[in-house]
This record gives sequence, C-alpha cells and structure tokens, in this order.
Amino acid sequence: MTDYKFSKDHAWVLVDGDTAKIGVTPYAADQLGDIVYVDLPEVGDTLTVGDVFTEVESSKTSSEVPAPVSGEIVAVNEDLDDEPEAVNDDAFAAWIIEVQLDDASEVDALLDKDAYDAICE
Amino acid sequence: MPRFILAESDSFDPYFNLSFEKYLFDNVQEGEFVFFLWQNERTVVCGRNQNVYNECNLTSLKGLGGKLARRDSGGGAVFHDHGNLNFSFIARDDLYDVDRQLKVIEDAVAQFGLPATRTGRNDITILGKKFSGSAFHKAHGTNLHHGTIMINVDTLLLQSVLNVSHAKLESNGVESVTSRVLNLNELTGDITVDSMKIALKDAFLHTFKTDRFNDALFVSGKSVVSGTGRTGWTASGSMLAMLQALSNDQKRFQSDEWIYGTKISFTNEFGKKFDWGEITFQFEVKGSNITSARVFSDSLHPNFITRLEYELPGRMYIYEDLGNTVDLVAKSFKSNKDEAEEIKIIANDIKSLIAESI
Repeated sequence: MTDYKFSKDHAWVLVDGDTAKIGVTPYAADQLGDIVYVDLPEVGDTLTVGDVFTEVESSKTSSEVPAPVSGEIVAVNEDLDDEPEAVNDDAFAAWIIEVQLDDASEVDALLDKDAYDAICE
Repeated sequence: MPRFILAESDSFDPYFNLSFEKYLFDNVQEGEFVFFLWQNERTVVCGRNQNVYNECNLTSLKGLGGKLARRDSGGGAVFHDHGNLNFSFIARDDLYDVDRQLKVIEDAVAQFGLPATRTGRNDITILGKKFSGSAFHKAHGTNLHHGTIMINVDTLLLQSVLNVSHAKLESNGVESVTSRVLNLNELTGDITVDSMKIALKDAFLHTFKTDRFNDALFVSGKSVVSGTGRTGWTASGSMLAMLQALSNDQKRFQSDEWIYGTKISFTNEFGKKFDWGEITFQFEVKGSNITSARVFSDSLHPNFITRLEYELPGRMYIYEDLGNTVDLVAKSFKSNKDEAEEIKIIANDIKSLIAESI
C-alpha cells in the first residue's frame, strides 16, 4: 500500500519502472455507488495533468476524473467494458489506464496514503 | 447568502438547450445556485454511455420528425415533447444537495394536492407510476442534477420511439430501466406546463428559504438577457464569448460523433426473406462507424452482394449512409438493363430492411 500515490481528485497511481497504472480510489468508488460504466480513453492518447482521462458512470452520477500525471496512454483495462463493477469490488485491482510517464517528479508531488486519507475525512 | 439564478429558455431546440445548460454548468461559481427550466421539441435524449441503437427506435423517431440527442449525464433514455418540462439544478459542491433539489419537485406537485413519493433511483412517482426522472453529472467540482416532469407527454409516441427490439444486438454501455409512466395532467387538469413552472419557482424559493431570485437569465434563440445585468456570466469575455461557447457546444451536441458515440462497440445481425431470396447482414460497429460487415445471400446477383459487402466498412451505421451505399452500388450495375432492373428491386428491399432494422 505504501507504493500507491493519490491525487486530491481521488485517483490512485502505482509506478512500475517508467510506466504507471492509474485507477480511482475505493473512497471514490464508495461515494459513486454502483458503477455501471467506465469510459476508457484510447491507447496512444497523451495526457497532461488535469486532463480528463475517464468518466465513470454510477447509479448516482457520471463523474469525470482528471489525470494525476502526464504521459502517453500505453494500455487501457478493457475488462472494465464488460465488468465496470470491478471498480466497486476492488478499486486497487481495477486499474483503468497505464501511462508512459513524462516526468517522474509529478508522482513525487502526489499525496501519500496518510495525506489522502486526511482529505477524505 | 447564496445567489439564486433562474434561467429559462424559450427555444425548443434540444442541442441549443443542452449547450446552454453546459454553459451554465461551466460558469457557475461557488456561492451561486442555478435553476434552469426548459423544454424540447420531440426528442429522444440518451444517457452519456448508452448505445443509441439499443435505446431508440430510430425509424419511428425519424418518421415523426423527432430529434436524437445525447446528454453529458448518465442514466437512461427519455422522450421529450412539448408536454414535458425539464429542470436543471446546477451548483458547485458547496450548495449542491440532491435531497433538497428533489424536494423542490415534490413541493411543486404538492401545490396541486398531489402526494409524490421518491423511489430508489431518484424517480418521483405517484401511485407507483413515474412522472419525473433525474440524471446527474459531475466535473471539476461542479454538479448537474437535471430531470423530466411529464405533464401531458404523448405516451403513444413515447412508447413507439423508446421500444426497441434488436434480437441480436450485442453491446456494452448502460441500458435503460423501463418504468410505468404517468402524466400529471391525468390527475388534475389544473396542471399545465405554465402552471407547473410557476409552482416550481415558488417551491424553489420556499425550499431554499429565500424570497426571490437574485438574477434571471432569459434565453431566446441567440440572445440572452440578464434581468439584473449581472456581470459574472459575461465578464470572462463578453456576450460574444458566451455566444461563441454556446455555438461550440452546440456543434458538439449536434455532431453524429457525439450522438452516436465514438467508443461504444457492438455487433448486430438482421435479415429477411424476399421474393428474390434471403439476405442477412452482420455488422461490427464502433461508435457509429462500421468496422466490419458481412452480407450473406442466395440472391442470383452475387456480384452485387459482394460489392455491397466490400463498400460497407467505414460507412456510418445510420440509415442515410447505408441507403446511399446501397444505391451507389446498385447504380454501378447498369450495363445490362434486365440485370439493372432486378438489382433495383433488390436494392429497394434491402433499403427498407435496413430502415426497419436500425
């Protein structure tokens, strides 16, 4: 868990080498309620911090999630097309995109778990 | 004290109204609360992540001159006409409160002596029948809660455009939940769109414990009039900047790419037996673009079928584009007059099959 980093917009980031997987946090998933659709971007799209990388629709709302880091999208989790509820079941396992990081220092600037938990209270 | 802003549109153009709603969404500030009332001409509005082919009977809708639109919020497909009134509550996180907002609708209905009940999916019902449904959208700390109020909607039309049976369509995306619906006008003749608007404004002021709206925006076609000349809505540029934003969003809401969706993939299969033989189409579609097509037929003109199959990928999966493709291929068979006549008949049958199947 210590390796996960968080944005204040409720995305998690897990770095592996020079790529990172990105998803939404369990807190966000709980707030959204039953998730019925995860709008996946295209592989090859490039993201700058703050760009919307996914829109998650739940029984309550459809919600845009801004990118916590910059980079090119190298993979999307297509399993979520058929099983969007996986985000509710295990938000840390249900990664949404994987990006090739432009700037690793953007990850350092994100929140650690304690700091993220503090803003969820 | 929050600033309450009433917005009303006298346009019935769904794309314009969705654009104006988006403008309000993009510009509302903390400390402000926008209440927007609007109506559309005959329109099916699908949710953000729905497959329109699965939710709307496009042939029926086209037949009655209706429009197809997609909104930013989630949820299911709805039918609008002049008997339906739409409301939008738009606020940032500081003032947004779905419970309180739904109470406005319930209070308005109560003014006519009708007891309304909320159900789990944020529907509002009377005697178990739904007259109001809500959908929601959130981005960069701003929230949209909008919904319908059925007053005297043409329910026969509603059924004809929202009832879709595609036996073999397989798609991801969000499916609508069918509800038994009710027009408020059936319960009391006192309820009209106009009397409901008055009741809603009254209920809003009462529920938000204020005696007046701080500003009123009236949108009429291309002009926007602010009751108090509030600068905030135009300060970021000018009236011109606002009209520019509206026009850009309207282009998006009107575009086939947005309406038919660019990301939802699906497969569909349909066929029919005619005097000249049997034909079956298999499509793979991404958004509205045909990525792969197979056509099977025992017709005596296999070259026509093969050419057709070859021409379909890359076309849009809408009747107009497919019909044109069929015509185009048929017209290329003109050297032999008898053959051309037979192919013309086949082409017309295929076009009616496509019209009833999409």
